[in-house]
Amino acid sequence: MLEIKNLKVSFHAYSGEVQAVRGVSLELKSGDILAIVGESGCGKSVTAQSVLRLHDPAITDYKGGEILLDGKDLLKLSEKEMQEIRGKVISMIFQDPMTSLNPTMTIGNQIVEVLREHEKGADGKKISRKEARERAIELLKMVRIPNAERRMNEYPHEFSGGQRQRVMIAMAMACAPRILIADEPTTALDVTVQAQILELMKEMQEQKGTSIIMISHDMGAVASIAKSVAVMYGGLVVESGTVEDIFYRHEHPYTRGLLDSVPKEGQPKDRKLDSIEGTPPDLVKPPVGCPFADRCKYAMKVCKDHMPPENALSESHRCSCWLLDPDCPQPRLSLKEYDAKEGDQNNG
Amino acid sequence: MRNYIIKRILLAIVTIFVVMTLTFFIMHAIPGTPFRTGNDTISEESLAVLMTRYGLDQPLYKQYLKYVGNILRGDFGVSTSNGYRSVTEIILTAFPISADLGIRALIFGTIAGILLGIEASLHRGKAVDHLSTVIAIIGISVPSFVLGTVLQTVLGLGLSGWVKTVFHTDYQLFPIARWQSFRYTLIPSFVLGMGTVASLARLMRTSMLDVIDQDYIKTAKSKGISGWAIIWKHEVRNALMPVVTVLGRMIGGVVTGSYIIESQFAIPGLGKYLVNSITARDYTMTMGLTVFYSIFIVASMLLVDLLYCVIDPRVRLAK
Amino acid sequence: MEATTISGKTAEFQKDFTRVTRDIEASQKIHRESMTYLQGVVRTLKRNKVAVCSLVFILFLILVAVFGPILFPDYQKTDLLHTLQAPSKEHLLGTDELGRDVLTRLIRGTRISLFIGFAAETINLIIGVLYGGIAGFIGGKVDNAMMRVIDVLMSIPQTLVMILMLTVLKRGMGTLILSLTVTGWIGLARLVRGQILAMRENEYVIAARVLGAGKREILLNHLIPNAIGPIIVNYTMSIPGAIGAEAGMSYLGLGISVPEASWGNMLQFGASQFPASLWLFFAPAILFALSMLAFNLLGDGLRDALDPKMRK
Repeated sequence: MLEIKNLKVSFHAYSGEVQAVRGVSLELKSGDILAIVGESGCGKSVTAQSVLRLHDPAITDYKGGEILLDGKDLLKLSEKEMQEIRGKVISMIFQDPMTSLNPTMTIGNQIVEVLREHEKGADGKKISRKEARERAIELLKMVRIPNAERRMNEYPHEFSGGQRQRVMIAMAMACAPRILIADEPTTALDVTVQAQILELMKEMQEQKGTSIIMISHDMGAVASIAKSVAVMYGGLVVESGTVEDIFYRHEHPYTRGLLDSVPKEGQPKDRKLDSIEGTPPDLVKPPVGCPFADRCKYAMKVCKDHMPPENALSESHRCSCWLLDPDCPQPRLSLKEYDAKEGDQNNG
Repeated sequence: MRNYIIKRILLAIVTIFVVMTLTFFIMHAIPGTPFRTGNDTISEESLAVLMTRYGLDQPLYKQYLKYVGNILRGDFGVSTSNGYRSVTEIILTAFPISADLGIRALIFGTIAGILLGIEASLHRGKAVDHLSTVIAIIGISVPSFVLGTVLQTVLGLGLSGWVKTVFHTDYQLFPIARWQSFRYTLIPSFVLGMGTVASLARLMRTSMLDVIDQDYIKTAKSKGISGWAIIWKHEVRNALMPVVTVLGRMIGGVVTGSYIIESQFAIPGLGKYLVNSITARDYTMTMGLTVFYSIFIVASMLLVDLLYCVIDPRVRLAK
Repeated sequence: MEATTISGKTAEFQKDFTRVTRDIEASQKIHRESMTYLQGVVRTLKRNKVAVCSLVFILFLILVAVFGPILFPDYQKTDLLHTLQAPSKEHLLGTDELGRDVLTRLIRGTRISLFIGFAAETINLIIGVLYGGIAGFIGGKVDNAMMRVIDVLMSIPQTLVMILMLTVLKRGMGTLILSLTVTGWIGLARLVRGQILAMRENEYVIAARVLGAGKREILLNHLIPNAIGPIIVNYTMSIPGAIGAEAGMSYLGLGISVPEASWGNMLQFGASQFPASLWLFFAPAILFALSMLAFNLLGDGLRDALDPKMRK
């Protein structure tokens, strides 16, 4: 349904051209929940926001690639055509619900606004304010805001963080979009609230059939909601596949690093969490080879000098890593014994 | 919220008292009496009569209490340079004219300034933006008498001279003096409003740029709201909030700034009296007007603050 | 991306599978090489042509103010035989009603006006930083009381203060500067206090405190260096305000009085002669307007350079 092909996005910053996205290809199938994971600055948000072309046009350059919605390239649409897609076909919720709602407009009006922008009544004209209000109340009830009628007239600062994110979801779902993009929807929330919001999103997907792209760096959240996962690093997708592919059959050392940095159930409490040492590459001068080479404990000379090719490991699973090259003397990452041996060497 | 309003009103009252007290003691720091200044030829006897009549022979604290009492009753004393007319009476006749000029200038200045600021922020770094910066800087820092002089000469005298040679009539589109009909108000209101245009344009621009970067603007965009609706319903509305907070000070600026324009265009407003009283060393008048101006400004700042409480839901609903 | 091949195909280059040790240092090196804050500021400012021109112009004005009157001291010399002369070879900017050379007076006026601007604003800077710094750093009740004082003073318009003081006290440069400093420091004090309050909550200051840094150290090493940017911007932008205020007072005859020269009294006299003797008006008016623009544009440039978000 939505296909991103070799997308390249650059920003013009004072330090030069930041190549935030350097050739990303992704596919979102109907009814899918696709998670894009990676550290901050890896280009995951930029990729997602590019779908709706939300970046400031003055400093953003879509250098190449296509974003195809049912075969239609969104990057080629006029701003006017794009407006009809935003909020109607594809909508978005953001990381910080505290700042994502207009502070001087009532919650009700903010939902009514999107309805009146896109929804048409039986007569073909835009729906009346009254009807929009009624539907907005329904939406608030749907995301389980108590006393919806009364709360319509309240302002964002009268809502708690979790409630505001619910309102954001209500707003995003108002016109029953086919795709919902959630940019770190739970990062700014309390842990208990996080689960509720994820549950709500899952419900929306199941009930309304909306496909979801979720940006996250929280592997726990990804595991609980996603059906497929793309791991991004340094402006590239380094590994992608179904959630099982990524969690149980990953081949990329970066994916391994991400998963190792999550505390696991049943793990001894005194065990130190593994974090990935070092910092992501500077995308003003991106490395010629694998972006992860400098931080990778399996790095080889070829990694530094050449971009690894994308290897198809199965119908769904793709990974770009030199370890997968048939000529590579090192065993594949999924062979656990190797890692254990490596660990012994490091300790000894 | 209620506490805030009470606090705000108390603060205004304290401010007015501080100004009154300072003015009083500055006034009494001047050597001599208000009745014998410059070339006045007042005899000792009449001086003594005047001193008793206005209570100047009494101890300072009594005078102070009397002075405060008088002001509270609306009595600002008499003006020596205006034939001993009561200052209050002068204020009552002249202030409406100043207020008229000030309101025109404020309306022009606020609308033009806000629009210019919006325009500049939307075309950041482009010609409009640079033009608005230059207008703003010139408008803020060039004293109004300079702009007044140029407009008075070019639009007033120049245009009417040209009209006279071409059409043989004395019609003046932009009369250069007095305050009679709408035509008379154009140049003075424009000149007086320029300062407001300038400061508001800059403030609005900064405020807009600040709002444009906010997350909720991205939300609005992601909802598919059209560009104009985003600008007016989301950006301008939020950007206006900080602008409202300075409007009180703007009013003060316009009111105290009008003295130059009024005396330059021979408008019989309060500012003209202020200038005259300074040149005539009419201290009672100068002090009286200062106190009156301060009260007016403090009151308008208070009103604007209260207005802000009403329009910004975040302040209005804070308990 | 030349090597985007599906597994199995051979690439055209020699693949060297020698293990290399992980190079965390290298991954961080790029970031360490990136510009320091100050370098970034200077670089952005240098790129801003308007700001650089403004800075050059201001430096030129300062040179004129310092050395000009030494080279051309005769600003008071009258020549009643050549009054109100239009610009000529002898008098590049003409003469005034007493036959004084306008250019020489303008040079003198530059010294006087700049002195007023810099002196008044430097005093305001010192008072403002001290007041705001103390209020912000001590906080609590002291801060509260100090802020109430500011609230009261803020409601008193500067024009009125100046008129009052210049009416009552001896007119002249001293009183003028004094009257500019009665309420002039408030903006800066509020700014400094705001900066300090914001930074007290900042993580690195909390970190420094946890590490046992004393109040004095925090103030000197963390707060002041970080507050300095906005302070410089404010200082630069307020100088033209003070110079302009003198000009405004000149209209009331409360500014610098002749035979001393200032931009204000030259403008006032020029305006009174407008449009008969245009040079009397335009000479000070153009210089005045250019200076106002220069100070403000430099301030704008500095603010943009100091704000990392604005660097593009």
